[in-house]
Amino acid sequence: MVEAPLLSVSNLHVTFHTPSGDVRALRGVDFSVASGEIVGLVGETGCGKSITGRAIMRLIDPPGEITEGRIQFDGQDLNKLNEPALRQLRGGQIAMIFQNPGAALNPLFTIGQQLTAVIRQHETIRGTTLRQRALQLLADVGLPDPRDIFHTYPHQLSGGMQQRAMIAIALSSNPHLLIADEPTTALDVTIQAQILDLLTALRRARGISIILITHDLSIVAETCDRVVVLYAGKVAEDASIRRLFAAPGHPYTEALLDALPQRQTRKEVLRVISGSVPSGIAAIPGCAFANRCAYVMDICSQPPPLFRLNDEQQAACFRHKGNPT
Amino acid sequence: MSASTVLLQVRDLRVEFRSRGRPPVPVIDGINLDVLEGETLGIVGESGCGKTTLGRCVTRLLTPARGQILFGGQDIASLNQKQLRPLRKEMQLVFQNPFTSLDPRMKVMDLVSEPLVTHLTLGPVQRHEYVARLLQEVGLSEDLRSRFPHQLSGGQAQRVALARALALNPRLIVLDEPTSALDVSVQAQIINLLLDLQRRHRLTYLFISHDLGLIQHISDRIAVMYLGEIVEIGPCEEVFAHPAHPYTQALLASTPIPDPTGKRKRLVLEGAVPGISKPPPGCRFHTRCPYVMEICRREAPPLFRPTPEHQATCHLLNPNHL
Repeated sequence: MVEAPLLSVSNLHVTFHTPSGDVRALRGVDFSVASGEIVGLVGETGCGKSITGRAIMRLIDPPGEITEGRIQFDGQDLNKLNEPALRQLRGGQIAMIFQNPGAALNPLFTIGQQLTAVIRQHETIRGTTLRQRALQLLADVGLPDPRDIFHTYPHQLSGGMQQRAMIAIALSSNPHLLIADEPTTALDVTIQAQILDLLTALRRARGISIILITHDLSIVAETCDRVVVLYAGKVAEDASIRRLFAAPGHPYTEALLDALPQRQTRKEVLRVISGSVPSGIAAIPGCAFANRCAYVMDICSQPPPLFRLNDEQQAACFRHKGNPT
Repeated sequence: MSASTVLLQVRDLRVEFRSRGRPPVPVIDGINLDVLEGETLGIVGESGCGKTTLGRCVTRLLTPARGQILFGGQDIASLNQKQLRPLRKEMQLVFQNPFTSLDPRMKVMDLVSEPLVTHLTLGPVQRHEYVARLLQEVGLSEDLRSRFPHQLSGGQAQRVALARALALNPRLIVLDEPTSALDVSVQAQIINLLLDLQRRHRLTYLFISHDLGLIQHISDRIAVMYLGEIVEIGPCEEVFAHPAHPYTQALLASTPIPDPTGKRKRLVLEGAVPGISKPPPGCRFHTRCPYVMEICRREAPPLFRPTPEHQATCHLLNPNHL
């Protein structure tokens, strides 16, 4: 990568201060997103993938806190921005969509009202120009009969159409980066395919970068250029999808792939990962995956840095010791 | 599979949901189905297709409006609660979310022994041993006996639900999305356990899921549902290799596969599933079908058999079709 990435996150720490102790949700996350790139952020429940998305938008509320780390976006340090500047950024250059569009849309306003309200936040257009702009956006996301959709309330739309409306709202300010947090998890597969196609088409048409947060490696394989695998609040592996699926660099990635029924012979025993994810409260001095790892070594009691395996792949595992980045 | 005895036969089943002041809505209609002893029949389909309703109806948690449900040869479609009671032992259900299906105020040992108390007359010592055996069977440690559901992980809680289902040596277990709430590594554990239990106890599974990858892994045969009807049924390998119904083809094409080198064929369906209260006339799939013909708008397609074991309802399969 020659040009500077659009987004770079380095050593990001997020802690939730709870009565039973500090929960360290992110323990030093590093990754970057290039212009026009679709990066998957994957991992199991509690690994920190959604928190990472929210932290980029600086949407961590108390008792949560970003305790450390840098988020560089398009040359600016997001940690240094004040609240008004952040308001311009959110839904401006960086937009976000969520798992449940029915909950993200306001049930009391029509799609048109919600869409134009967001456009007016970032632009000074009014009247017919505003309306035309909104209708164009609804058409861009593949909603049939934008004029009708403009006047409907969210509950009158199906889940897939609600998600399209959310995407239209997210796109209204021409963002450079779209953070999509499990955008298809609540949808049926045929509708999921439509939404994923829409996201990749938007990238082609607008050159937008997308962070796709998902628990589903199959979606990553079909949609993303690169994938960042999170485990217990840290990056386990960062690789092009080609490399990740062909030769996973981290034992956790390998185990995740082996647990997928689609990759196994029918009725064969699936690989399981013994043990469980360490609690977020306890300090994890070494590799967080060591207690479940089939290849654990003495050195794993120390924290592994990200090792570079090749041009397209990095993994935080001492098995690749030799060339730390 | 040894001699294929039919355990469950469903004939022309119709289930209606009623609400005041409105005509009844047929949630499933005209379903015919045979489930063989010892097999896993996978049921797939999207939200609202009636797959859960089917599972609840064949176990008689719901009463059908019409049709027969022959379980071990006996028609149970119109039995009352009292008559059903001895049969409850033979068929069990496991639901998607163990935290809502397990009583939050009961401890693991009480949850697992509840069916024993209801259906058997065991002394406390026997019951204790029985529970211990069941916990071992589903791979749960004895230490968890006095935990409450909220003190368990999702995988552990689903194992408790399975132990409850197994307690009375059922012949049929309806598994309704049993792993959909679980992470993939935990899902793998539960799937392995289900396959293992089936081998050991010769269980028959009706496995309901929206996840085709999972269904393909676990099923012997699969049935594909759309808007309250079965549109295709057949041996698992055959349906996946040669899907006969356009809806099955679209489902397969829409399902992402975890392999970036094998891009799926593009057959993305337009639009969404129509409402069940007024299903389209003719073939119910015709509003979304890429191959729709004139006849599809008028006539509901009968069942065609591409092979003896494989059936689908689509006019394209009519041998007289040009």
